[in-house]
Amino acid sequence: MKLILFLFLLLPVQFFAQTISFVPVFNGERISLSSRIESNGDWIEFDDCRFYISHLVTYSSGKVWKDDEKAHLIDLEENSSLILTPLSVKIDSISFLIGIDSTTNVSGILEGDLDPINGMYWAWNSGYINFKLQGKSSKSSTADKSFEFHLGGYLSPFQTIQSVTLPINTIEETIEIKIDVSRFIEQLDLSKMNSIMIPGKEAVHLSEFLPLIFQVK
Amino acid sequence: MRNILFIGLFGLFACVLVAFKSQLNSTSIEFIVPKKWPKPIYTFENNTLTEEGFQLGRKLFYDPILSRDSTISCASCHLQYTGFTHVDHAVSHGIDGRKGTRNSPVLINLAWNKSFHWDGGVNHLEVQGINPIQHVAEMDNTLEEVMQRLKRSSFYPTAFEKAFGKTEITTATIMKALTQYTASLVSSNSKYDQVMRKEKGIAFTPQEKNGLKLFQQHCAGCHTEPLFTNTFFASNGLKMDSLLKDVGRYAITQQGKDSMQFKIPTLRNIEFTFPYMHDGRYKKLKDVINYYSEGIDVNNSYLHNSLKKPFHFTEIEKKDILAFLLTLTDKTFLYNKRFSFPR
Repeated sequence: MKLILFLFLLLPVQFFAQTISFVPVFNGERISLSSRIESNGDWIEFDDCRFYISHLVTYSSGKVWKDDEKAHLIDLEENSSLILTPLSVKIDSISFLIGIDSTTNVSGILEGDLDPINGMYWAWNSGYINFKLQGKSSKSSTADKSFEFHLGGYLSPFQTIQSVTLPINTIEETIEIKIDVSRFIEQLDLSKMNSIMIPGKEAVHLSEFLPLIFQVK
Repeated sequence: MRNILFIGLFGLFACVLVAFKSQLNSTSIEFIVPKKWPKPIYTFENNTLTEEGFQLGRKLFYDPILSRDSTISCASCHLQYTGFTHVDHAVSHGIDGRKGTRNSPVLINLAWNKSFHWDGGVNHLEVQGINPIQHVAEMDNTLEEVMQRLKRSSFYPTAFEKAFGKTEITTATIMKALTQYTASLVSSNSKYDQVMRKEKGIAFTPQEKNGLKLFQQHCAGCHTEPLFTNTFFASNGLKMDSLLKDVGRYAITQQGKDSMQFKIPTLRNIEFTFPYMHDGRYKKLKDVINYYSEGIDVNNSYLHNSLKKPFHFTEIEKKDILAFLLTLTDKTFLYNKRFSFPR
């Protein structure tokens, strides 16, 4: 019943709905997340890339629209689209945070995308994992060639939340944001660093590369 | 258009009906803050304390359904009669006899705690319960599995509906129910409390009185009344166990200043919560008093300032302090049927 009411409220405006679609990319080339990418005798594959987007704001000729959802969990394998509350005008730019703010991190148990069951939450050191990237690479020095980066942490001085602003040049219904994971991977030497699973200095350092991977065009 | 409007109105009506019905189903109860106590940190915001929610949390607390092989419940390591800790176990054993690395903490007056675990890694009472469920040395289960089991049970869906107004069971409703129970574990009726409230016919013996004086002078800076903890962290100078290699709060904050610091525990019901310290290395309360009196290595660089000068209590003073600590026993709490295994 609640759902019907919800749909009813959306009805008059849904024609202007815009969707943000997050697309995995490697060196500018669209990829399917789990496929193996080979170059110069080396290979890499990803089995998980998930992250939180929060405080989403769109700007369009003088109008500012703020998303009222606390956060969205984006899974590049499945749930990689976000439907924005509609605007009747063209969006000029969009800004958001990669990760979860400190207030939300100390708010107790939350539901939906913020449910700890989603596997983006540390229970022993309460807080959300802002960004998770896992896979395998010939360069990794681990026995099974795996690498895993769980980046998060909200406590001073190791805050990992990042901010992104992107210009939007399309008038189409779908805004495509490319996630170029190569831009993150190329910052690392996987033979030396292949696992970060706790908040701290390294997590902060690696999180600073995250805004680089979000691109339009 | 008229049709849509009709559906909309009907939806609204249904929502009101659902809200009303859930209100009918649950009986809210007041969380009583003992007189002259500070304001609790946990305020039941977004988790209204109800009789149904409390009883559901109590049922979950005592139900081994939460553990992977359904052998242990929360109460396995948190027994009411011993202040909700694992008596006689330096560190607790969870599933398959696997051992943890720290002494199981008491569950007393949790609503006044800012953080949980000996290292303070857990920042909110509602998310505490996820830890024992998932920890490999405790219940070694997953939230998904717990959810599936609760949904399949003949008891829980109705109990969740009564408590939260919906049959759907989520991580949030499980944790909120558990929190309603654990936050309600308030101990405020020890002899100490009765004396402080100037109850008729209750008085400290001269020994207890002197114990309190010494306690206030030397211990209360950290074990502050009336909670008998200031809820902060400190190093009491205990040497790191060579096997456990526990660095304390440093593991959470990654900051040198927090090395070897552990949460300052409450001393309420201390008579029954042995063994003592974060790794349970002392079996007897007198061992603990001896340690603080003259056992501390004052050259330990992590040691809290207040402990740098040894107390050197006399044997009589030690007995007085011990006598005072025993006045923190609250039998109405330890034997409160409302907190015990639900029958």
